[in-house]
Amino acid sequence: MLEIDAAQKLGSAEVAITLATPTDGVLALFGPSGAGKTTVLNWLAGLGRPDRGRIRLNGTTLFDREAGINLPPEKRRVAYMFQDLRLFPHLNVRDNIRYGWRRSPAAERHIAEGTVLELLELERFQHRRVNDLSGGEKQRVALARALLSAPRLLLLDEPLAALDEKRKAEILPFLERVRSSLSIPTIFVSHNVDEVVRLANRVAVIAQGRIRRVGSIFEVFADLGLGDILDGGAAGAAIPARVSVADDGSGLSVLDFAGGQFRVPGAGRPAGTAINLRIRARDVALARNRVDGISILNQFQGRITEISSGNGPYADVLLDIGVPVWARISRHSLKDLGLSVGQRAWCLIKAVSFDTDPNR
Amino acid sequence: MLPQEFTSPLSPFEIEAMLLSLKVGVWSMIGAMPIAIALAWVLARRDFVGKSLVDALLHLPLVLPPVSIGFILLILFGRQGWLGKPLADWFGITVMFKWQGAAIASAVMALPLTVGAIRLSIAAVDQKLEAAARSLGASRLDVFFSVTLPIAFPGLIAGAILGFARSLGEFGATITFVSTIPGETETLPLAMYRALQSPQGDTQALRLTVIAVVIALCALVGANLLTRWATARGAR
Repeated sequence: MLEIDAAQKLGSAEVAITLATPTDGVLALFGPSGAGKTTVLNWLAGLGRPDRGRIRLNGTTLFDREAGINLPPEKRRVAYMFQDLRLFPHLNVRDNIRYGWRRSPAAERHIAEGTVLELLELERFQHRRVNDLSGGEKQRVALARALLSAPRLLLLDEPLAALDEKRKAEILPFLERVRSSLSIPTIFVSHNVDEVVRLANRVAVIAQGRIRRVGSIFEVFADLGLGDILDGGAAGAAIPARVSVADDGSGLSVLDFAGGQFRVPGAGRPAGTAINLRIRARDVALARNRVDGISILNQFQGRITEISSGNGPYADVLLDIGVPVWARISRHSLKDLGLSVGQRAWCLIKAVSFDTDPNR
Repeated sequence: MLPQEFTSPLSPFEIEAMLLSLKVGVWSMIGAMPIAIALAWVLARRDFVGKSLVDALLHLPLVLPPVSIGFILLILFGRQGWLGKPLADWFGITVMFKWQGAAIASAVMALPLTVGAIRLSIAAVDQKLEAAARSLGASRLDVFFSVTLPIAFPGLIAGAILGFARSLGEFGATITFVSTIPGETETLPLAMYRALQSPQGDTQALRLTVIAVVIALCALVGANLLTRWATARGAR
């Protein structure tokens, strides 16, 4: 259990966090840049100090202003993979990886060096200088170094933010592998919904220094109240699904979910694989009736449960098709179609992004 | 052909002065390094009241006449001095008119240069790396020895060589503090000075100068090579 109730002034802004969450699995700290995500990670690692409040991790008090407790970073056993990696330039790959391991209590080294090296495919780099590595390789070294320090909690600060799409695709499988085979309690900071849906099972949404919402990714991303944070087309629902037919003969995969079946271009995953689907609100169109003579394959009927329209040109409509799905349509269309809460409507889903997750 | 005065082998007197110079230089640096590293770290990484005063005091040897530094040392390390009395009473050590005194004078004169070089290299070590080391379980002291010092290593070497080279040329403070005693405190510059004071000493002074030039060149070339090696080793 991680309990945070603390605040820190940063210039004119204040980060004030109240959060109590189980630490098993992966918790994403999600929010726009400047929301205070990294500040919270620094509190946890002991590299930043709140002005007031307390922080407890699995019964250990890490920080308590009133009691005058501020456990030094080296006593916390909270490993931190920094956004800028911070590999030691004077040490080779192996000595970098072993830095924390050498300083960890022998009784708590539950993860073997060989396991991590194999998992992250670092065996053949051991004697290389860290500056001779590629960006993706450096990321893996930083991750290995953090994992081998026998942490009680692993912090990942935007592990993918600095990478281009190609490198992201290179490192993501490693992060997934680590998550599923080592099961270290992890907090990972991101401002990218796709990454959160792919890696986390719980998410805490943080904006302007406050926690807005905590819960499973499926609950949280079904919350229309977050429209202002999930702006820029990133808004949308997360849906658990399972592959039922890997290839229907035309290159399409059939995915079962609580409201029926999606048909999507080859997921490339065998039948039975669990998958998290991401359906962006902007990829969903609404219609009063089923639409024939259209190229969109996935059409589902559902009931409108919530409509949120602010001052902008868009309105967000939450539709229950067995699972909640958001649609972002223009306010103009909303009026034209005469949609209101409780009515039934069809949603036309233009695109689905998905990722496998063997854990769910 | 060079005149015979230049081709004859080194005399015992010259060898003695040369070895003494090297001994004083090496020991002054060995003694000064821990103090220089500590001072450099404090000046690079800490802010405290009176920091500029400490900084100014450290630089005094650069601006004061060397004779006055020698005189201050004489007062401090004299039989009744703040440092001289306890040293003599408790440990039976006197440094006045001893080669150790010459090493102390050299170290003090070289300290501003040595600390300056080391301070720059410590300030250049990214403090984010030190924070990362702490999050990996290293205490402050551990971080200093396992991250800060190794990364600042080229600067440490540069500082030590600079100090050593400075001590080879040290004259004023030394002659004031420990006088010029052949075999004990008479380093190359002091020997040169005494040679010049005596009639027909020019040749002797010239031979000593050549020795000094050779040693200084070796030290500087060696420093260059060492720094290059250390930089390559800790390449960023």
